[in-house]
Amino acid sequence: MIFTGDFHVHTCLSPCADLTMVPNALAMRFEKTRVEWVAITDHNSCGNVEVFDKVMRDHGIRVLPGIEVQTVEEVHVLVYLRSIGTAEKFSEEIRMHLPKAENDPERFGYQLFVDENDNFLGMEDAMLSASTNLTLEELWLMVKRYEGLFVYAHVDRKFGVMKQLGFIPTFPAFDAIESVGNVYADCAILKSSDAHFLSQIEGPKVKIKANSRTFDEFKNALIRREVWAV
Amino acid sequence: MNVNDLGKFGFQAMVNGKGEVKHGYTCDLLSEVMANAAIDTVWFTVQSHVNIVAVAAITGIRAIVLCNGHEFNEDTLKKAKEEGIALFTTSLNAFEAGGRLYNAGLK
Repeated sequence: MIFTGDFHVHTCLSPCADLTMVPNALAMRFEKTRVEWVAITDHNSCGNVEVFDKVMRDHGIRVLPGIEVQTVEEVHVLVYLRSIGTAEKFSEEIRMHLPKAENDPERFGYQLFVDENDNFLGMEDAMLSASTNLTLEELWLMVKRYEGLFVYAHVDRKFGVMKQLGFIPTFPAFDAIESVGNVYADCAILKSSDAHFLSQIEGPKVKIKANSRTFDEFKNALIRREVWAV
Repeated sequence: MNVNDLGKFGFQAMVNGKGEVKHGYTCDLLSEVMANAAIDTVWFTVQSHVNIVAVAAITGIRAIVLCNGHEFNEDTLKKAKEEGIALFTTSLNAFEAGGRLYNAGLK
């Protein structure tokens, strides 16, 4: 089957994302624009994955658990994980690699946990906008320990590996790249909205061939390179 | 100025290089360095990822000074030896470190 997807989306937990990025608003927007498979990828946290999965499921949309980690090199890496449980464990470990400083929401943005009715439950105190103290290599080892997928985010933009490091290093290996332009790479290439505002959700960003909308099927599609920009 | 004389400015030599340096450049975004650094340059940065050596080799940078007390990893040291790029460390920040060489006539 061919599904429509968008595998890089932020929620109100990301400090730089709009406060309107709440579960029901996102679900309605994706349903309306006919996106069937969505990865929730907040900065350095998976804290809102579960609630978005629950709400989006009611709208016929499947969520792929994810996170956008910032390394010591200030490179953004998208990590996709098998299950919500795995994602939450991964997120807890990432939290230990963030600076000890507390987030100042007025300066860096609000980091909000929500429930399935879009009510704000509380704030994340850790500074999700900061870099972890993990090098690319250390992050890669951690991702592989969780049997996750390691994908360079927007390689050709700010905080992308090519902007930060000039070119993609030969090590560590990566499962795919995400590009905002026309970068060539010998691997699957994802296009995504990287939406921080509802208005940035305009429709499918990729088509992907899979038997069902599961982590394993997503992984297979990347290996087979059966994912195409829309 | 010979690259190996940079140690006289209080920087710790980690890998010896070769040739003369005439210019200085300060930046941590490697794509910017690749696009803008001149040949025969000494580069001040806090980025220690192994890619810095390749960027130096491509652009004609002869020496890298890693600032703020950061340390090079083994990969970077090994690669620099292979490429003949001089590596130094300093506890100074990039402004202070670069200023020392600016005052010594590097532009």
